[in-house]
Amino acid sequence: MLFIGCEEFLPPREQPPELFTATTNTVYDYYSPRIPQTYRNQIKYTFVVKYIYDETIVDTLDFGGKLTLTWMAPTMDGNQSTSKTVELNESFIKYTGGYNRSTGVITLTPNDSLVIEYNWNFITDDSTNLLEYFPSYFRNGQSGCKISPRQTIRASASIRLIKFRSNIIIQPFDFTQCFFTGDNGTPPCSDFIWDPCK
Amino acid sequence: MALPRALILFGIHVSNEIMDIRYPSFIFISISFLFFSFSMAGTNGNIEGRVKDKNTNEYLVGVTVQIVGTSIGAITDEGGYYRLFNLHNGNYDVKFNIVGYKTIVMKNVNVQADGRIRLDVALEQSAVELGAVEIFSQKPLIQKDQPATMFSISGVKLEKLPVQTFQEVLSLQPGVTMEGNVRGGKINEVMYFIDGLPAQDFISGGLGTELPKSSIADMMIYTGGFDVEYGNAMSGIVNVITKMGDNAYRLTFRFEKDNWIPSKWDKQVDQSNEGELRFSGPLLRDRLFYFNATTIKLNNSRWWQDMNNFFLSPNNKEVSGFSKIDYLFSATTRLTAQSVYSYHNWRDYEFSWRYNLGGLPERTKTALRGSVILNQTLSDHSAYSISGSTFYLQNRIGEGNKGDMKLIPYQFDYYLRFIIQGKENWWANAEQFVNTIKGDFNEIVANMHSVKIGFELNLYNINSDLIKYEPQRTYFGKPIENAPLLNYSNSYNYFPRTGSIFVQDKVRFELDGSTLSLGVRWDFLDPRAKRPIVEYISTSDNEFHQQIKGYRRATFKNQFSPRIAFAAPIGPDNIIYANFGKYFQYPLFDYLYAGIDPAQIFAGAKNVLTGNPDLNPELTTSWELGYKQSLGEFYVGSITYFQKNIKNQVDSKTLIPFDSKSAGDYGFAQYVNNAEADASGLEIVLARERDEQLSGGISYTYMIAQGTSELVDQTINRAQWGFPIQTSTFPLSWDQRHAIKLDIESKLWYGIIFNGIVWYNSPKPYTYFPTRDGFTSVDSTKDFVPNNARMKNIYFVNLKLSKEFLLSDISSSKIVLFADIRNLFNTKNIRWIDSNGRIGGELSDPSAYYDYRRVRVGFTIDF
Repeated sequence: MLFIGCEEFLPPREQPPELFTATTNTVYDYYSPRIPQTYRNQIKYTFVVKYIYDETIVDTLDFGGKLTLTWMAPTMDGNQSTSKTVELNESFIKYTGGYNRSTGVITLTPNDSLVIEYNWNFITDDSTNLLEYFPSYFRNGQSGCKISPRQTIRASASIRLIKFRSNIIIQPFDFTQCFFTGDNGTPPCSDFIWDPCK
Repeated sequence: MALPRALILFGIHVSNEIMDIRYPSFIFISISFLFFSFSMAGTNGNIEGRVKDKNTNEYLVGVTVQIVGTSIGAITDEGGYYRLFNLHNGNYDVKFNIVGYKTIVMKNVNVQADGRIRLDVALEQSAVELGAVEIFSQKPLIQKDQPATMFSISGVKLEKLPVQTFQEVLSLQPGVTMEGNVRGGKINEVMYFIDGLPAQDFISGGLGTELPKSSIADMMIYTGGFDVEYGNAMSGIVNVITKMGDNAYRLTFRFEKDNWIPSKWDKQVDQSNEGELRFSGPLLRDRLFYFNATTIKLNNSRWWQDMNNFFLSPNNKEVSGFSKIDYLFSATTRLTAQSVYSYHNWRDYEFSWRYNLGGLPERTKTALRGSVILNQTLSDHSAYSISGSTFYLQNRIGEGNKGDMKLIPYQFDYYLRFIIQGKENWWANAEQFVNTIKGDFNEIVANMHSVKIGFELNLYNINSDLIKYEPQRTYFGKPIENAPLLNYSNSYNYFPRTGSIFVQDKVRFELDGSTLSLGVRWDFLDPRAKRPIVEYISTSDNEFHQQIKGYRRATFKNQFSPRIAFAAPIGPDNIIYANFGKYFQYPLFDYLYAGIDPAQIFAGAKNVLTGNPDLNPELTTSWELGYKQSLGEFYVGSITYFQKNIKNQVDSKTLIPFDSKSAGDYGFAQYVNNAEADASGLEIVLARERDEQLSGGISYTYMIAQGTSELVDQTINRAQWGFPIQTSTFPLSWDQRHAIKLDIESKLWYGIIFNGIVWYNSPKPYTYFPTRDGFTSVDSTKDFVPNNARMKNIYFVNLKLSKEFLLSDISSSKIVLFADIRNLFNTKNIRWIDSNGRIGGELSDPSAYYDYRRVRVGFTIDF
C-alpha cells in the first residue's frame, strides 16, 4: 500500500480577480453670483468605476447602492445628524459608454468606465445644515466673509451594477477643506477666492 | 438466608487469628498494597457468588475469598454465599481457600462499573496442601445483570484502537452516527462524566474539557436505558473512569506525528505532532499515590496549505491533562483529589474565507476542573461517597477586549462567492463556573436488593458576553447586499441552580438470576432570572414598537424520571432484557438567558433571537427490548429494538413578521419548546470475545430518525428565507438508515497487533431545492421540503498496527511502535451536498468530503 505521494484534494489557489477599481474625485463648488438662484455652496463628488478584468461582461444593469457622507466632527451638542445617506439610482450615472437604456443591458469591455456624480449641499439626513454648525470666523476681521477652519468630510459608497453580484465598494475617502459659512444667499464672500483656507 | 460475611483485611500483621468459621470477624495477612475499593457513582461494581464442593455439590461455609495482593476479602456463609463489595472498576485475581480443598485463583476477573459480577466456584477436596490452581477467568459472554444496551471499552483497548480522542469511541458503537448522534438523538443529548462527575459545557453543549487518552482506565457507554443516577441526558451517557496511582513507579511517553516525510511529497497530512507524558507512583507507600497524564497536540489542521499563508505554525495548539492524588486513611476510607485541565487555541477555517483567513477570529477554550472525593466502605453491604467539584470553562472568540472590536462589514468578490476583505464580526467571552456537591449511598439488603440513593446540587455562575453581527443570507447562502446586518449580540450573567435526588433498587432474583431495576429521579432547575413581558405595538404598516410591560420571575422547574429495567435468562446461554424510562435534559443556558438582561433591554439593545428562562426541559420517553445469546465458546449475538419519542425540543418562534421594523429592523424571535421527534431502530450485533488471536465484532443498525426541527434556530431561519414554518416531521440530517460496523483485533505474525475498523453508512439526507442565481428557487411553485434527497454511501477503513519490543530482560520496560491509518483506501466520502445537488456547493468546498487518508506513526515507551 502506497501511503505517500497523494495530494490533498484542495482546489488550486486562485485569488478571485478584481474586476473594478474605483477612484473618488472631490471638488468644493462655491459660486456666489449676484443672482441668488444660481448660488452654489456644495461638494461635488465624482466616482469613476473602471472595469479592469480582461473579459467582457454583458448583463442587465440593476443600478443601486448607497453613498454616505459624514462630517468627521466632534460630537454635536444636540442630536443632529452629521451624515447624509443617499440611495443611488440611475439618475446619478453621469456617463457609461456601454449602457443601452432601452434594453437595460450594460456591456463592459476592459477599461470601460462608469461615472457617478453627486453634489452635496451640507444638508444631513435630518435636514440639519452643517454650514450652520461648522466652527467659523470672519475672514476679513470683524465683518464680511465668514469661513470655517479645515473640516473633514468622509465619503464612502457601495455601488451595485448588476443584480446578484457583489457591490463595488468605494473605500472611505476624506476631503478636508475650509468652507464658506457666512452667507445664506446674499453672499458676502467673493467666489473669486479660490482657496478659502488661504 | 443469612447474609454473607465479608472481610476488609487490615493491617500488616502476619499472625493468623483463630476465627469463628461461621461468623468470622477478622483475618490478618501481609499485604503489599491496599488496592481497595471505593464507592462512587458509576465507577464501582461487586463480585459475588457461591462456593460449593465439586463432588458433593454441597455449598461450603467458611471459604476465604480474597482479592490477591490486597486486603479485600470475604468469607462464605452457610449458604456458600460471598460478596466482594464495592470494587473499583478493573481486573482482579480472586483466591478461594479453605482447609481440605485445593486453593483456586480465578485470574483476571473483570469488574465493571455498576456491575454485579457473578462468580460461582466449585472446590475439589484434597488431603494434602497443594499449590493454588490458577484459572484464567474470562469475561462472561453475557452479563446477565445488564438490562440495557451498554458498552465497555478498557483503557488497554483504547490504546489499540485507531482513535485520537476518547469521544471517537462513541461513534464506533451500534446505533451511533459518525458525528455522535445516539439512536436518533441530537449530539448534545449525550452527557459526559469523568469519574461520575459531569464535565459538560452548559452554554454550548458537548464535552467541556479534553482528557488524555492514557488517563482512562475504562469507558462505559450507555446508548439504551440508563440508571437513575445519571440525569440531564436524553440519548446517552459516556462515563470515563480514570486510572490511579499505585505502589509501582511508572513512566510512559508517547509521541506520534503524521508528517515524517516532507510535505512536498505528501500533502495528505495535518502537520500534526502529538506527545503525551504519564507518570504515577507512591508518595507514601500504601498510603498516598499520584497520577498525572498530559497531552500536547500541535498541528496546522487539514487546511494547512491555506492556513500557512496566514498564520505561524502551528495554528492549532492544545494541552490537556489529568492529575490525581489518592490518600488512604484506612482500608475503608479514601480521599481523592483530582484535576482536569485543558487549553485549546485555534483558528477556524472556512473555504469561502480562504483568501482572507485572517478575517476569521481566533478561538480559545480553557477548562479547569478540581474535585475532591471522599469514599468510605462502611461494611460488606454498605458504602457511601461524597464529592465536591469546581469546574471553570471559558470560551473566547476574537482577540483583544470587547471595546477593541470594530464593526467592519466584510466584502465578497464580484460573484459573491469568496470573502476577500474585512473581518467576521464576532467577539465572545463566555465563562461558566459550576460548583457541584454530590453524594450517594449504596446498601445491599437481604442479599438481593442493591439499593442506591443519591443527591446532587449544582450552583452555576454563567457569564456570557457576545458581539456577533451576521450578514443576511438567502437560503442558498448568498449574502443579501445592502440588507442590514443581523445582530445576535448579547451579554448576561446569571446564577442558576440545578439539583437532583434519586433512589434505585436493583433486585437480583437468586432463583433464575434475573434482575429487576426500579428507580425514580427528581430533578430541579431554578433559572433565577426574570423574563421580560414584551408587547409589540403596531405603529404603522409592518412597523412595531417593542414595549416591556414588566418582568416575571421564571418558574422553578422540576421533573420526575421513572425508570424500570428487567433482564432475565431464558436458558443458560441467553437473556432477554427490556427497559423503559423517561429521560430529560435542561436546555443549554444560552437558550435561557441570551438577550433578556433587563439592563441591556433598558439600554435599548435588541436581539434577533432572545432566550427564554421559562423553557421546559426536553423530554425523551424511550424503551428497548433485546435478546442476547452466546454461541459456543467465543461468540455472542444480540438483537435489540428501540423506540424513542422526544418532546419539548427547543426551536424558535418569530413573534412578529421577520421583515418588520422592530428589534433593530430585523424582526424578533424567541426560543420556545415547540418541536418533537421520533426515533426507532434495530441493532444486531455479533461479537467474538475471549480470543487473543482474533476478536472483535460486527454490528448492523437500522434506524429511523424523524422530527419537526433539527436546529434551535430553524424557525427563524425559515422566516428569514421566507419559507413556511415546518409543521410535519421530516427525516433529520442524522437519519442514518443502515449502518454496518466491523471491529477486528488480531495478532499477526512477528507479534504485530492489528486493530481494524470498517464502517459502512447508507446515505444520509440533504435538501434538494435548486437555484440558478443563488437567490431564488428554480421552480417557485414547489414547496420547500427539507431533507428530501439522499447523499452517497460512506465507507471507511481505519486500522492501527503495533509491535512491542522489550527493552530489558529484567524489567517490564518496553517500546511499542505503531502506525495509525485512517481512511486506508482514501475514499472520497461525502459529508454535505448543497441544495443544487453539488458536492461542496458552488465553490467545490473540499470540506464537503470527510478526511482523506492520514497516516500517523509513533512510539510509546514504558518504564
